[in-house]
Amino acid sequence: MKMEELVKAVIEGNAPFVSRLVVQGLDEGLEATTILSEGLTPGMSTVGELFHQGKYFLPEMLYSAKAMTGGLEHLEPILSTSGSNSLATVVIGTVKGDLHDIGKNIVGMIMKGAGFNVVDLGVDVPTERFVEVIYEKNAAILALSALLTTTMPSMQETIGVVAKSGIKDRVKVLIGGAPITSKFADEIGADGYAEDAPKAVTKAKELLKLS
Amino acid sequence: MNKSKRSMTRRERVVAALDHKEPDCVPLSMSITINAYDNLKHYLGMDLEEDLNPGRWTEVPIHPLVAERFGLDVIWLPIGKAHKKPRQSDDPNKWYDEWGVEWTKIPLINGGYYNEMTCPPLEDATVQDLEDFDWPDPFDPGIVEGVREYYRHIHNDTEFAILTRFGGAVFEQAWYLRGMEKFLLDLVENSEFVEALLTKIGKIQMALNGVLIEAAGEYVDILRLSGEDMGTQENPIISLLMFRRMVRPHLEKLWAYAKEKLLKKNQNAKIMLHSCGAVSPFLPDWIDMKIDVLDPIQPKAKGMDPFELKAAFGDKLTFHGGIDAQYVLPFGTTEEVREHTRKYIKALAPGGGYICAPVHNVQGDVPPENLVVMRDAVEEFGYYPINL
Repeated sequence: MKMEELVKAVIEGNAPFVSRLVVQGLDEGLEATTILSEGLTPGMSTVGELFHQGKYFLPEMLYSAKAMTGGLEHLEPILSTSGSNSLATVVIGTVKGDLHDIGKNIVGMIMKGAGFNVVDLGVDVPTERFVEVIYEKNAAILALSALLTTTMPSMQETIGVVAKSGIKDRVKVLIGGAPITSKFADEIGADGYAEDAPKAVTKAKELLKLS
Repeated sequence: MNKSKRSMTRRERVVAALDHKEPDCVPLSMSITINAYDNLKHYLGMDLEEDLNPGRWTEVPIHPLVAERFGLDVIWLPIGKAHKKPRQSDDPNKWYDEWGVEWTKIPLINGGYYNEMTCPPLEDATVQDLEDFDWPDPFDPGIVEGVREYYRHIHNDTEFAILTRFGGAVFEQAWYLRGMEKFLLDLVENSEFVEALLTKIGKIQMALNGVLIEAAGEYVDILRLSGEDMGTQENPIISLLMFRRMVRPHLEKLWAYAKEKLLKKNQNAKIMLHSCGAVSPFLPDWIDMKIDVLDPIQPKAKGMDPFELKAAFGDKLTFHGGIDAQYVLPFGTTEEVREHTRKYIKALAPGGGYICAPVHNVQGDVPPENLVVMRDAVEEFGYYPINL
């Protein structure tokens, strides 16, 4: 299996080919971590750049993310048993009252592609649930999304509950969504803000000093 | 409000602005959710009993007395409800719209609620399934019931300009039916389904426009043909190429039909497109597709600078909107609301072609004080000639 072919297949969103190449790579004895870090991750990273440059839009990015996710499914059983695999665990969800999840889903997929272990709690997530799962999964990043101004207070509430439960020093909180700004992130005590999915990956790595 | 400085009726003011002529003052328009509407009425001291039936987005029509007191020039009028009842849900917090989309009332942290789509009925559908789907009937007599009489009453007995939506969106309705993520993927991998779905929706919206324009078109000043949201905060949702290839043909047919039919009824009427987000790359196409009015000019979206838009497209488009709903109205100080309104009047109003309005149905987190500050800023800065 040629790694550059896998990278290219992710960029083109060719799901069947991505899957085939990943399986072939494993058959040839390549490490799952190598296939992820040298194939899927750089592929999605390029997709992120193309999105930033205005050459890819949401449909193309979703198409590539779907292809990447298909490839990742072959690697996940191996990665989860081998232990030291992911960069860190990210717990992600839309905050209480907010059901708009496309942005959150894309961030989740792109973070997976970048090598994070992503625990997606879905939409309209009660604040306590975030805290439970951060404990349970020993998460290093809490990523919160809101589309509506009326649900932005839920972000603040979630951060308050995280702080009260004494785990604020263990987890970095990253927030995003259409009305969110870095000023708002500062105001509510979040550790970072990202304007889109590729930036969320960069920011998460920065917060964890991984880059 | 100091009315003595005003020399035009509300409708004349709007018609002049739409015609790219300077009216006496910048006209004001607004749509609002039930939570914010209750707050505003309370703030204005208006004790008005109304049987309100919020729409999909919890928006409600503003009573003419409230519009009058607040100082709106444009009034949004509703249409009738189909006699055929949509599917009923056992869950009191869930309901289905006429397209079969499931919605859920979601409580908000600071009170009130918002309707959210929770189940798209065509998520797993094939092209064949579209033939068997229970589509809404645009000819249901309930849809036009009382419309002509009410529109005529507002037209004849008040000074308001009338804004309405008859048939709605095509592109956006497609995500409601299919689910947004699935539909965006369809655009890349299932163009046959996209074509079939947009065709189906387009026919229904076109028929709705047809029957309702027939019923009350002569009273309509602005016909809103959407929400066709095509932008995210940062970018268009789809590329211009994809828009032209897959979406434009459907919208072009729909818009051309609506405009032609409407102009036969009222030669001064205009068609308005509502499209949120960073949509500036589409504007030359939309102008080419004969859109007269663009809403909402979302201030915090990329590439939507009002000075640049006015310079580039101000001779062809009237702008409706501009007053930020993502920060200024819900969270801004009095001074920020005043300054923001001033900026949009300065940018968009010279020469006419601007109707000031919040960019979105005003949400329950907007203090009524801020709406009043917006209105007062129009009074303070909106008189022609604009000299800011």
